[in-house]
Amino acid sequence: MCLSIHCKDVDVLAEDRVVRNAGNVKLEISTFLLAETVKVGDYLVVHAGSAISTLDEEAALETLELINDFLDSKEAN
Amino acid sequence: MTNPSVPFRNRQLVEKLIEKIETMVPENGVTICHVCGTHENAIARWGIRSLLPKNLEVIAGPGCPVCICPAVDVHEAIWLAKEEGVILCTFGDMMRVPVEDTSLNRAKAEGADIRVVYGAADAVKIARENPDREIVFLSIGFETTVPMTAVTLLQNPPENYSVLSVNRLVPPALEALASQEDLQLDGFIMPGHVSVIIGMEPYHEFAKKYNIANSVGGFEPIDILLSIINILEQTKLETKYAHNAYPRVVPEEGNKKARDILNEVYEVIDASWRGLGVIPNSGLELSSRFDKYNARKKFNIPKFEIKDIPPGCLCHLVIMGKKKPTDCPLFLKKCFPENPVGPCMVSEEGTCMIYAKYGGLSIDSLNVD
Repeated sequence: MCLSIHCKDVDVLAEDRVVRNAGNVKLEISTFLLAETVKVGDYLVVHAGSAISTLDEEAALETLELINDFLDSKEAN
Repeated sequence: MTNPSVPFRNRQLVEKLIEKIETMVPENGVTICHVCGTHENAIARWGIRSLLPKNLEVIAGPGCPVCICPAVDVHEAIWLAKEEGVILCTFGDMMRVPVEDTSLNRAKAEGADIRVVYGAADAVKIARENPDREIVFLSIGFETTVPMTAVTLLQNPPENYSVLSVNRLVPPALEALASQEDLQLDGFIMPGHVSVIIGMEPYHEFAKKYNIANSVGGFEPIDILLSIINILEQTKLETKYAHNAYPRVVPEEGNKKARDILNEVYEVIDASWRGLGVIPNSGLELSSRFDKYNARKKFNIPKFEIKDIPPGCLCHLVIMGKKKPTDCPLFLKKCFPENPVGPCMVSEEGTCMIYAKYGGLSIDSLNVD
């Protein structure tokens, strides 16, 4: 039920609505719950017709770096 | 920009992390509980249990809102759907939930106008298109799902729209789990998409109150392994804490706008969970300002006494992580995904449905050389 899909914006319809491309399905999604303005190319976390968060690419890269550090440090032991 | 979640499915990285996990599990074993149907689905679908050491157990807690929706509320929805002029809208998963000898699906087959929608906004659209009908939205779900229902109520919906709220809150269920004396848990994987809304604060409080390790997890295999690794690291610590293994989606502060909207529209009530009884402060009901959109105030719904759990069914114990679906005498004998007896066999997030679909298969269980 709390399944969310990560999908990419293809068209901004209005201030609080966008069309999102999830695979081959185009969905009209509300962005009302987001504090920030979304732009074409952003990845959104979409649940039950509403964007609830944006994906933070920088945070994703930081997590991957932490994983590599963790694996390296253990290997060194 | 490519999808930032894709690297979190990398097979080589999974293999390296599993090797590390094998060195981290204490001799007396570790039990970790998650409280999210989507986590159970991801764990089964990616075959994660088959990769973990045998003395590291990951169990499923009450994380499927379809499973924990009380039978009496489904029965109320069926009663409403059969009322003259009513169109009942709800999520697809709810259609097959068995309630004594019926379900929404059966009511639809008998002539009730019941429609599957993707969200509350679709129900409002149906209300606008059908001004001479009464549209009731059966609203289930946790903090992830409720805000959009709340938004529809703040956007001046038509008066022929109303909401039957069976929404529930996750932190009180965590407290109920942590208070169970017969469950010895070493840590919790917290639900990533609920956390998008509520943020990390409730988990900091939970760690402080119960001194239990917890880590917010995402839904790719590496996300889940990262939460497990953090909880294993915390087994060495005296003071446990809350950790966020899903920061690309879950900000520390959550989604304040969504929480403000929830607080404006709903009031917190003591609420029943199917098979578990009442959990204090775990439910959401529309506040009195929205009485005209509250289906329980708008319609004269009779009082029903409906059994949550059918004879022989162990869903109430499966929901609490005390039994596995395979412990249930009905599992794949009388209770099947195409003909469920208990609520956990219905949804793609129900533990029994997931066990039935993915079978808990592993290389070992297939007896492959």
